[in-house]
Amino acid sequence: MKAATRSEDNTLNLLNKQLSNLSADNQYVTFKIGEENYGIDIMLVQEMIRYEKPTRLFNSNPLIDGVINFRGRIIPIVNMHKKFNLKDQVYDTFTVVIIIEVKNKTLGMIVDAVSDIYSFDGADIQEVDKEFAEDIKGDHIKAIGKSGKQMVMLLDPEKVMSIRDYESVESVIVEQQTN
Amino acid sequence: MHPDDTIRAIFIEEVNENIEAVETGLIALEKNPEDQGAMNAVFRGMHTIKGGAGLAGLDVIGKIAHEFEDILEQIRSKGEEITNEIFSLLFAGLDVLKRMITENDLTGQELSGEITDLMERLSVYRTKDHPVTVHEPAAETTHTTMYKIEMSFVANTFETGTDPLMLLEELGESGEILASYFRPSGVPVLQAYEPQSCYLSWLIFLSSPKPLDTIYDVFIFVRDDNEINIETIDSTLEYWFGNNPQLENTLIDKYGFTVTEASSIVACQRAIGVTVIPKKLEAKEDNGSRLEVEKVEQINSIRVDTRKLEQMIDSMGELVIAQSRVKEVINVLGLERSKLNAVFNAFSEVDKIVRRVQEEVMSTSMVPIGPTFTRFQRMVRDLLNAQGKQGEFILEGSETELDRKVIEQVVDPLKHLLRNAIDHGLETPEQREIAGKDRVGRLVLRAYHKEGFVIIEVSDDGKGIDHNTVLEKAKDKGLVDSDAQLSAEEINHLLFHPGFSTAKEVSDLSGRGVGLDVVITNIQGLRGSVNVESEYGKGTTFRIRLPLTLAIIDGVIIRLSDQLFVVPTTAVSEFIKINTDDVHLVEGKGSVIDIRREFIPYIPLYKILQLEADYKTPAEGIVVILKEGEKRLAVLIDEILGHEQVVVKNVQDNLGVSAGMAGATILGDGRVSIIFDVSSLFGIARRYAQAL
Repeated sequence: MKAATRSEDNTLNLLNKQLSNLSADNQYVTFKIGEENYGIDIMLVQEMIRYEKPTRLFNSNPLIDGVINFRGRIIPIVNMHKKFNLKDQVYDTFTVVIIIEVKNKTLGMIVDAVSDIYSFDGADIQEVDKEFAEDIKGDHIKAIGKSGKQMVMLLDPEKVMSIRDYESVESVIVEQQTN
Repeated sequence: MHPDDTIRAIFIEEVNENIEAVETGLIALEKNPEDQGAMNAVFRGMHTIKGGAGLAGLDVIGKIAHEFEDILEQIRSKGEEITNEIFSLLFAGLDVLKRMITENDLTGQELSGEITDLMERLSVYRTKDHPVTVHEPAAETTHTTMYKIEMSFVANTFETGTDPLMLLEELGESGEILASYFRPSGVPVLQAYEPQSCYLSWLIFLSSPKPLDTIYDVFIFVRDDNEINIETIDSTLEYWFGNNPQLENTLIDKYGFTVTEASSIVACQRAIGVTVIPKKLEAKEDNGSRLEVEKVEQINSIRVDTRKLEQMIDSMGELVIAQSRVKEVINVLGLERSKLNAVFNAFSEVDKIVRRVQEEVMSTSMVPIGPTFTRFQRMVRDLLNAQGKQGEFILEGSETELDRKVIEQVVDPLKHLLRNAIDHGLETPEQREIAGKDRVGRLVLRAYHKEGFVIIEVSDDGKGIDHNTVLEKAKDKGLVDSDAQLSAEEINHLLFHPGFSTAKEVSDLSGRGVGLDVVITNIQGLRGSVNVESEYGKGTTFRIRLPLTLAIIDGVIIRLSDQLFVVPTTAVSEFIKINTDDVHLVEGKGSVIDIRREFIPYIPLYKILQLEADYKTPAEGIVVILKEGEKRLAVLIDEILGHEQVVVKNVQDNLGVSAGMAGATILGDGRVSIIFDVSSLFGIARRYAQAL
């Protein structure tokens, strides 16, 4: 195993350990997608695993890179670059899959690197209302958190993993089948 | 959760079963009014509903059930015939109950109109003065004897180790206990109650083939200290079970029952009387043994949350996967031959046990199809009546077991096929007479196992499929070319085409041209198939073939680049190695290959799936011929890796459905592999070819 990979695995192990010890509210796992920092409610995160090439699907949602075996369950992993319309993702040793469970659906988000687990003070979080969201053309964030000088965009999990995307795919397939 | 909610949840869980039991019983009674077993089942079902509703505080349901019981009681105690009017009233009542449950209107607010209406009709019937026909006491024709047993115990009887319950059970073994009564009024108020004392005394009616001495022997150890009286009452059956006004007084004076106790006992006795007195004329063993069988079944089964079963099956699948992973690791270790052999010998034992446990676990989710079959009786009865047709509905192979999930999903297709058979198959009695057939048609629903599959057949002896009409219709609709020549089988297949219907007018239930289309989609979803056999003028048989279980699939593992796929073995016709010049280009677009003078469409699998592959020409890879009914498709793949039983994992929870995928599985190395749905692969291939 390469040295870089091992240190990256250690980081993941440490973070995963924290994951199982956490208790407080307002804790977020922070990570990078493209150049920006994002965060997601830690209570939704099941585990973080190193990216490995998944089993590709056919005829399915282009946002889904493929399916993986997560604790004996088969779950899809979502390409966040495609989801956010960024340029193609480069898979390297830092690429991590964050497994989250929302409304009984388990999915993996492919992110470029995990950064930290961070607790925000209530005052450090600015909720994003509808108007503001429209102003910045953001569909997926529910708040912005301040962490020192950095800005962390806190994702709205339901929108990130929005079922709408899946439904639209299903309807396309149904159309195909009926044609 | 509010405690009431829990009780209601249990009530709802059980009530459907009971409604079904009542319905089945009523249908059986309608066929054969003498069927005491059915009558008892109806009573039992209604009684349980009433009791459950009472516990759950659902007064309206309780009241309806009570009215039902009253009417049935009246019928039973007077030995009246159940008229069609009563039957339809009872069925209507059941429907109201069902709607209250399905529409979650347990208190009957939404349906109050219907309920009031029903209650009125029920009470009108109940108050009608019906002529009473009394059955004459039966002459002794069978060898069973009726005993009346009085048991009263001294207060300290428990101290001697006597357990009245054991005695009752022993009595039950020597015959059938028709009734047992005790005096609750004998029990003192709580303050004066001594838990160690026995306050009860019993009055028992037993019907037994054994002589008096044998019955006495049951009490051999207790009769000295306690008061045990046994009498044969064969000659006074009418006194005890008939319409005897003196019985109530006897009970009060001689046996110390209170007035209310006595009157309820009299009612029970009369109810039994109707069963007992004529029953003595028939062969009695039949009924007795059936009751016993039911009892045994009740004791030996428990209710288990189906999620638990599913988890067990899931974990079992994971065990199989984990085990094959261990084996792979051992292979990689490169042990010496002798050590390797030792490990694998030990493993073969583990394998055997795992396979056995797997089979056992799987069998827990296998249930007989019988209850599902009986559910259709009502529907068939109503449809036949509505259309003025006469038919005998015959159920065969009710004991055939298959996966609970398959059963759930096969209900709708079967419903469609049965409707179809009644709407389009069976003729009216007049038409049948003209055709020289029995006025009463036959509708058979049959299930059996064959070659590792479950076959379910729906057949009727109606008019059969008129191939000319079907073909004309298909031509009209442009489904086939106007000069097409089709084989009988191809014509039958047209019936499953979406939008096809030969019914002259659209009926309420079938004939919208969607039925058979839905049938085939559902069945294919279960990895099954449907075919039709029909002889014009003689009848039609629809045959559904289903896998025994959805949890495991027998598959061929194939490779495309770095991905492995599972092709269900049932969909593989053959593997073949061909040369590039065996492939012929048609009109510069699609390709066919020539196999033993048969031309089969050919396409590289990677192309239709838009995935990578190592080999792009048939000479390098290998060709699999897939089959779907009579259709064939040759696809090029990289390699065949083997043949395995794989556990089908549910991916739909997280993914939704996608065409071409029947599911996914986890292979020995922990990787996810897609299981093909071959019938939709055919569709994908067709679309791909059309797009060329």
